Formats: sequence, C-alpha cells, structure tokens
Amino acid sequence: MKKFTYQDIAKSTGISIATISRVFNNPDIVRSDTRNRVVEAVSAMGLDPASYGLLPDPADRLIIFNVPTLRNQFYSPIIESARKVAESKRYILLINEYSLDSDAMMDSFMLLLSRTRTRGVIIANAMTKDRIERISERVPVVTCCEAVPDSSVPFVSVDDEAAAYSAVKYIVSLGHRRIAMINGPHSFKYARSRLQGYRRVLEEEGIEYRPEYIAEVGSDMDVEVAGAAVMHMLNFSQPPDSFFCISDMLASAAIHAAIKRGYRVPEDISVVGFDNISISEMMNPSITTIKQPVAQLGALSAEMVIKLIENHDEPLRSTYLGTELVIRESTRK
Amino acid sequence: MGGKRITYQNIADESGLSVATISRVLNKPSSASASRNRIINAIISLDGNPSDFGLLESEDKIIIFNTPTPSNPFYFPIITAARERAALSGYILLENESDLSGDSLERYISILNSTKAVGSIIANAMEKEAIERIDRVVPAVMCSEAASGSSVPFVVIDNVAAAFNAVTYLSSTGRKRIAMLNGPYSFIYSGDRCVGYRKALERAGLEFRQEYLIQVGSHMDFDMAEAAVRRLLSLSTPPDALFCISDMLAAVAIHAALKMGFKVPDDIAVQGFDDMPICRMIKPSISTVKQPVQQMGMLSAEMLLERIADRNVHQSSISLDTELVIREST
Repeated sequence: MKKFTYQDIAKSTGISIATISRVFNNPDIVRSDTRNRVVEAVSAMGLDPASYGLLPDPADRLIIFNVPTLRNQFYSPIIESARKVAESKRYILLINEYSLDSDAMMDSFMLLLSRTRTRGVIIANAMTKDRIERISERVPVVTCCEAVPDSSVPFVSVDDEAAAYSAVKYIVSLGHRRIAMINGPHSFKYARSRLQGYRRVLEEEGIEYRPEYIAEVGSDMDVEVAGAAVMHMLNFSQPPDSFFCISDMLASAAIHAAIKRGYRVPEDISVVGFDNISISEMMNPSITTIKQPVAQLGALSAEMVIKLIENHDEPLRSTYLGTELVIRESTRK
Repeated sequence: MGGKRITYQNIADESGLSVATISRVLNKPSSASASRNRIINAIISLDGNPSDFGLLESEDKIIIFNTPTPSNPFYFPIITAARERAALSGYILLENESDLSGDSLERYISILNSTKAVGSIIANAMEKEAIERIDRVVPAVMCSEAASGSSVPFVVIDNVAAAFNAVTYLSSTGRKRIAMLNGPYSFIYSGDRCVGYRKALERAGLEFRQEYLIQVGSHMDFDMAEAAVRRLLSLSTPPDALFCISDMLAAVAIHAALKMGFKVPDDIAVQGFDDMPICRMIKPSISTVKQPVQQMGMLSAEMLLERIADRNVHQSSISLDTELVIREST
C-alpha cells in the first residue's frame, strides 16, 4: 500500500497534524467538513480512503425500515435487498419492529426518528392516511407492500388483486367450485385487494359467494387460528374442496388440518399459499404459491426513499409489481 | 432557531394535552410516559429544542442488535424480547444485519457512532479482537454465541448438554447409527454440539464414525444439505438417525429422505434444533430442541443495560438450559 504521512495531508489542506490524527483515530469529535477535506485529500493522492478506515461520512445517512412483525419471514428477503441498495448508495439501513397502530406507538416512533436523526423511512405496515402523513411531514417516507388509500405517499406494492385472481382462477381450472379463503386482517390493503381478486373469479365463474368460506387471521399470522378455521370449515355439511391462503405459513396449517381431518392433499383438497417463502418447497406436499418479487420490492423501496431524501421536489411514480404462480404438489393435477 | 419563545400554551395546543399536564411532566422530566413523548414531539414540531425544557438531556438511549447475514428467523423472537425489555427502561432497540468482518466491521462501528448508540447486542460468532474492538466503542454483550478468551459477557445455551440430551434420546429409541449434520465451525455452538454428540455416543456405547459427521454450512444451504443427506443415505451402512443442528436442516433432511423412498421415522429418525414454526409445518412434525429465546433476549438486554450503567461491574455470563421436544420425526 502506497504510504502517505499526516504531513502530506497537512500540507495540501492546511489542517493541523493533531486534527488529522483525530480524523483517523477519533473521528467522532471532528467536524464533518474538516473530515471530508481530509478524505478528499487522500483521494486526490490517488488512494482509496476506505482502505485507511475512512469510510464515507456516516452522519445523517440513516434509513429506517419499519415492519409490523419480524415473525413474518416474508419481509426478510425484502429487507436484504433494500439494505444492499442502501449500502451501495452509502446509506445505513436499520430495522425497527413497531406495530404503529396506536397514537402512543406513533409518538414513540416519531421520537425514535428525531433521536436517531433518520433521513428516510420505509414502512411495511398497514397505515391510515393520517398516520402516514404525520410521518411524511417530518421525513421522506415510502410504503412497501402496502399502499395507503387516498394518500400521496409513494409506494411499491404488488398487484394483489391480480395475484389473487390468478391463484383462484387456477384453482377453478382444476375443477374446484367450493373455494375457501384464509385471509389476513381487512385493515391491510393487501387483504382487501386479494379478497377482491377472489370475488372477481367467483363472479366470472358463476360461483356463489359464501361468507362462511372466508376466515381472517390477525396481523401476527397465527397458524393455530388458521388451522382452527380450516377445521371448522371442513366440519360444515358442505365443506370447501379447496383453500386459497394468503401466506405459505397459513397454507401449511390448512394442509395439516385437512390431513388431520382425514382428507388427502391434493387428491381430495387443493391448497394454494402466497409468498413463496424458502420453506414452501420443503413441505410435503410442497406448496403451490404466488411468488412475490421480493428483491424488487426491497430494492425499489430503498431507491425511491433515497431519491426523496436527495431531491425533495422530484415527483415519484408509485409502482405495482407483477407476481408469478408457482405450481407445486399441494394442488390437484 | 428563531427568537420565538415556546410557551406551555403553544405546547398544549400542539400536543392536545392540558397546560396542567405539561407543567407536571416538565417538573419531573426524567420519568418516561406517553405524555412526555407527546410533549417532546410537540416541541420538535414547533421547531423548539426539547433540552431547553429539561427533556432529552441525554440523547443516549439507542441500542443496536446485530445478527449475522443472511437473516435467520431463529433470532426474531430473541430480538423482540430484547426490544421489549429495553423499552421498559426507556431504550430504543434497532436491528442490523452484518457479518462484522473487514469492511462490514468498520461500517458497523460507524453505525454505532452516527446513531449515537449506547450499546450493542451481538449474535454473531466473533473473534476476541473484533468483539473487543466493538466493546471499546460502546458496551457490548453477546447473545447465543461467545468469543473465546474475551471478557465481553454473553448469554448462551448449554450447547454441549443440549446435544448430549438429544443424541442420548435418539439412542434410547433404539437407534445405533446416529449421524450429525453440523453447522460451520466458526460458530461456538457447532463445536460444542459436536462435543455433546460424541459424549452421548460414548455413553451409549456407540461407535463414532467420521463419515457420519457432516458439516453443511449455514442454515440456508439447502442444496448442500440435501446432497449431504443423499450421500449419507447411499452409504453401504446408512445411518438410522440424523441429528441436525437446525430445524431447517431437519426439514431438508426429511424431504431428501422421503424422496429417496425412506420412511421417517420408521427407517430414519430426524432430530432438529431451535423449535421454529417449520417444525409443525412439515409432515412428519419435527422433534427438536427448544431454546429459551424469550429469556435469551430479555437477559441480553438486561445484561447490556447493566453494563451501560457501569462498565466496571463484573458480570457473570449466563448459560441457559434447553428442552427436548418430541414430535413425529423421531
């Protein structure tokens, strides 16, 4: 490694050797602009500041990605690709797990943003217009996976309605007519949109909509609740012959419940999940599911919030991404 | 920020609280409460400085929990428990994923500095030099892993005993050819669980076979794991039990065994580790070792808070017990 001396830097910048030494050894107490001048001086010598421990100025480059719960494995690959984009643009991305569904939680969150001097936020929670706009007044924000109705806050989401439509249409194409749906809480936009897609298929196919064939789990995605709902439905005098579940975790609970009740999957009952989490392939039967473009969801969210941070005036276009049906063993041939 | 003075009435109007409440809170500024947060937010919205009112005197309330990458769902309940415990004492906990080696270690240190974090909980396998470097910036504790030779305190499970109990259980069901699918040796848990495995074999009078001990890498290495299981099951004397160091690996092993025409558990028993939700999603459901994740999270946070309050107080590291959970795969 080509060497340089503090003297070299002192000469080209006029900064004292004591201060230069602090930039390398105790950077926290050095002013940002002074530090940047030293970094520039090292670069000007044709050297890479990073190899001398001089990473880009860390102050004020924090983005917070908030999720309602870490327990939903669906978020992990999204966060990973968001983080990669943030890092490539020299931002720091940290994860916070807050439900944001009460005023007290919102107050704590706003406080967190000030204390950490957060520059931008990505939110994966279901939000009301008031709450998301309270955040956007203070700091650039983008929603990921959830779009807030009537709000101008930009979002990256999937076309949940179309995705559900293709899943349920596929189920019908296998010959099923009594299709149940295990859904998420209707406070989430994705849940409402997927229900719409489900209903659109029923209408097109002339299948009667039966409210007793719809169950809703809480935002914690409790598989026990899903399993119980499926058991309950299989005890009806006219039980469903297929289940559309809005996550692979719920789909596996549905499969278990059906098997416990004496049905064979997929011979008697078909089950479709959603998300294509890594273990959906591993199940037996492996789960037919909707693959979400998780890498894009994360990467685009990060790109959009960074654009907002760096240029408040640029109008951003929200994006609906497409999904893909992945056919595996849990649906009838 | 402008010469305008902020009055209690201004704060009342902005926050929706009464002037009386505001006065009460500002006279006792150190006690945490929902009203206090609202007042702070109101002052900030009015472009004021909370410390002018005796609030947020020390901004030092952020802790970072770092896990290795790629993310392993095993850590999530630990993080949640740590967050909840930290919140009780008024601390914010944020999560970061990083390998903490080379450039990413430098980046982590700059994260600690720029967020003005006051402590961190580290779940990675660490060398003594690296963890002590982090600990010099702000106090650190380790969770689920320990760094040998280091004075940084840790909360772990007794991995040797956990493995010993699991393998002893397998031999008690009549299995005689017990293989182990282990993790990377950079992790302390891998070495310790191997020790437990071998002790259990010895105690049961079973022969240790080198070809029955396979290292398959991180939990997400599905293809490698599947290939390893196939090789094992293709041996002239295949094992009749597989002790896997994670439920994910156990799921892969079951999948591979079933595909090859073996019955689980009749032909081959499969034991996992961690008691993750996947255990009940696979059929046969996975026997496993349950880790006291809530306690691990809570105790790591408590240990860190004590350390932040006084770095010099000696802290004993903690080793927790685990629980064998027997389901259908053994």
